[in-house]
Amino acid sequence: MKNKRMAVLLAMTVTALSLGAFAACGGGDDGPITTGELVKDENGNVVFENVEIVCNTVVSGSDKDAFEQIVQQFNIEHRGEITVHTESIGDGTFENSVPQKINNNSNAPDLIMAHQKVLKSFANNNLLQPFDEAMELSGIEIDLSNYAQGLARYSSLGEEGSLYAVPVDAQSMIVYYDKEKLEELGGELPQTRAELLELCRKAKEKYGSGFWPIAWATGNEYFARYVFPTAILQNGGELFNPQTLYAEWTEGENADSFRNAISSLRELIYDKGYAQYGRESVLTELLNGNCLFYLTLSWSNSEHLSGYADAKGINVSEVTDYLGATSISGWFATDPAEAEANVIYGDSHFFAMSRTVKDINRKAAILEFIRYFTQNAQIGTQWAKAGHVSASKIISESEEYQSDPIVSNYFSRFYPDLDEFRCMELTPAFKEVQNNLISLFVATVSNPSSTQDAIQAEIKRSQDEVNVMVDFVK
Amino acid sequence: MEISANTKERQRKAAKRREHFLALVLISPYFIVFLLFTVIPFIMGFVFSFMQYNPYMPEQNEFIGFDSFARIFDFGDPISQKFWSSFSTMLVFSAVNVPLAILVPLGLAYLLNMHPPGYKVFRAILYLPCIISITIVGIIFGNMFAGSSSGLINAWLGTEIKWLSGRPWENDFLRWFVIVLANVWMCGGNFVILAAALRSVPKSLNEACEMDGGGRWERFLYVTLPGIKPAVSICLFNSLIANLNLYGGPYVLNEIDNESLLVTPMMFIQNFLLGGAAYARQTGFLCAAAIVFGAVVMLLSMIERRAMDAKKRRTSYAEEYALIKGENSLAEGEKENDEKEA
Repeated sequence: MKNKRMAVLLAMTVTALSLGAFAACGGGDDGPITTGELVKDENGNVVFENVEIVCNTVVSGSDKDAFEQIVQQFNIEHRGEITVHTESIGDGTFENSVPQKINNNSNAPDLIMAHQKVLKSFANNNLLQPFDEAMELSGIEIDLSNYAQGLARYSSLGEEGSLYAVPVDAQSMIVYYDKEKLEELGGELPQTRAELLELCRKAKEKYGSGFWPIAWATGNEYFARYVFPTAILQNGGELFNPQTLYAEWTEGENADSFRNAISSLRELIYDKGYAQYGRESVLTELLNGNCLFYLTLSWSNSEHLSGYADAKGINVSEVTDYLGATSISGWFATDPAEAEANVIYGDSHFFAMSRTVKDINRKAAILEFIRYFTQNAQIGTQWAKAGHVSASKIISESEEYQSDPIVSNYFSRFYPDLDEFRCMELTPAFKEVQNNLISLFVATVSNPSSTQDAIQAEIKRSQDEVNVMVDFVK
Repeated sequence: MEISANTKERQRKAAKRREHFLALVLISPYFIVFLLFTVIPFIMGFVFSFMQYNPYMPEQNEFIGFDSFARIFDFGDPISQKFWSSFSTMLVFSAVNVPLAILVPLGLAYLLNMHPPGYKVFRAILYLPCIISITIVGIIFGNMFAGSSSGLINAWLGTEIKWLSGRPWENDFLRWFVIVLANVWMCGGNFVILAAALRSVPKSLNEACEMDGGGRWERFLYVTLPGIKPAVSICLFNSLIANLNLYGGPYVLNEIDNESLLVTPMMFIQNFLLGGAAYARQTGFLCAAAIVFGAVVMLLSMIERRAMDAKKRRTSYAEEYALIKGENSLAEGEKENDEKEA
């Protein structure tokens, strides 16, 4: 009898707790609404009084310190008005933890600084709200015509007429070159693939077999993430159909683009022997003077410059005498007349607002912070030095930005035209596209003896993999 | 003063109540954690498996009955194919790794049981990997078998073998080899159990077997093995469960260029559940997949237990010996009786 009573009690406890848990899983709220009122001064500017905002950012690497410094500077300049609290969340967990925080409205961020590619799935799940109403009420304007059009076109997240995300920056693979060696080879940087091949031929001829005209680490995952899609786009390809979201890698001209992209990489590695496959680091090539071009990641720029200076026993300011900067623009385009021949593919940080923000003062404070981060020349310069070229034309066209030696000698050359910068088009299946592109790159470029038929079969296999997953997430 | 029977009964009941209360207090920390992190999530997952469930869009949630389960068993569905193909990965891995996880520690325990010089040090060294977390193991083996010349093994061999970048069953099986090696390396737990079991096998039985003309192999087969059968059974059960739930090894040793190639059911489910908002709509389907996976693991574990129980029922050398001894004494008794009668 007593055991029965215990069992009933236990069952009731479990049921009650389960019901509680189910109730908690029901989602946070009904969606974005606006509460509160703004106070404005005689000029119509919003008067902020101790508004606190929480920003979750995916910036968590060596550039995190620079981000926090900027936020600190903002907080000092807006003391008593706005305070921004930041939390860095790594790329691997950002997509999972931030939606949960917003959904449960528990420790939820007000502002998100994320890669553009993840924001579509956030928007699809009603985790974000547009800035339009807050802009209208506060008078704090974010005019997209002031941002690089290559990036601003993602700002609506597919909902035309709305501003969901503000582009901050861009990052991809960057190229340093050995100035002395380039001088010895004629001093002209290549503008097309043909010129690149000719320069590499000369370099190989002059410096012998131990010299690599192009030093790149294909073993670094970002190589496949950035360079392979760049090669596809430069050959006129499309990573997926933006309307249907399906990969069409074996269809019509797109099939040619994929084949040409793969051939362009294989030619450099196997046919000509100008670059290697499979290396995980090629820094020694750069430091030992065994390469002409050195490909790496933009957010490591300051480490590279200081590392190079240390290795050569020179000051960092002197590195510009030895190391020049250029871009992969045009490197893989088999047809230089191709409209997209100069495109560079990479990632871009965007600001977006969580649906949990209700108070108009907080919304306006978010806009104020975004405007500060993306329209202040000094901040833009500081952020560029941390490895992220500014997406804002207000910053990039400013005197302060253009005259900065790091920006002018490096970043303006790494990305000659941000209107030619591309990210992944908007899709919730970005991970599937990205992972299968990486897998396609490895399958088709790793094997020196791959036949055209084998390459074609791999393209088809990867395309089908993407499309299966598109159906799953659509 | 005599205590009445009623008072005695009351005291006995009070003592029992106190005992029950103490028991409840003692188990409550574990019970609460078990309830919150196992029972309730299981109930929720079970309910979600019958729903089209998206945690971010509650207005779209609806009961869909067995649709998710039907989809899992629709072998023409590409996602189901992926799910079941992850099972084949798991089963092949278990088929290779579970016997190794028993045989290698058993062999080592047998050798150490002979007490060679420094056996205590060896015992500690063999157990040591067991206390290292799988992440550290991943880092150790990842660095040892790194594809470039910076990898320890490649540096020794002077090669650039892509140990961890191969495509299993297509071009090579090197990554399988590394993961199996890492798993076998971590068999310290089984080693300790088996070593203890080996020590508990009575010496007299070994001597008896030896007197009956049994060699080293016969002694191992007919005395040692039956004697350590319960320990083998425990190790087999633990290893089977661990290998069916394989996640850590491939997760930490998978490289970016082939991360989708070695996927176990745990990884299949986990990849999507932790994959972010993009997969939120499929939560119900993934819960159904988890239920099916759990049921398969349970089934395989039950089969293993049954098989071991059946083996346990077979006669061991000790029982046979006793039986033979009994028969002999019976025969001797009969002989004596016959002699007496004569």
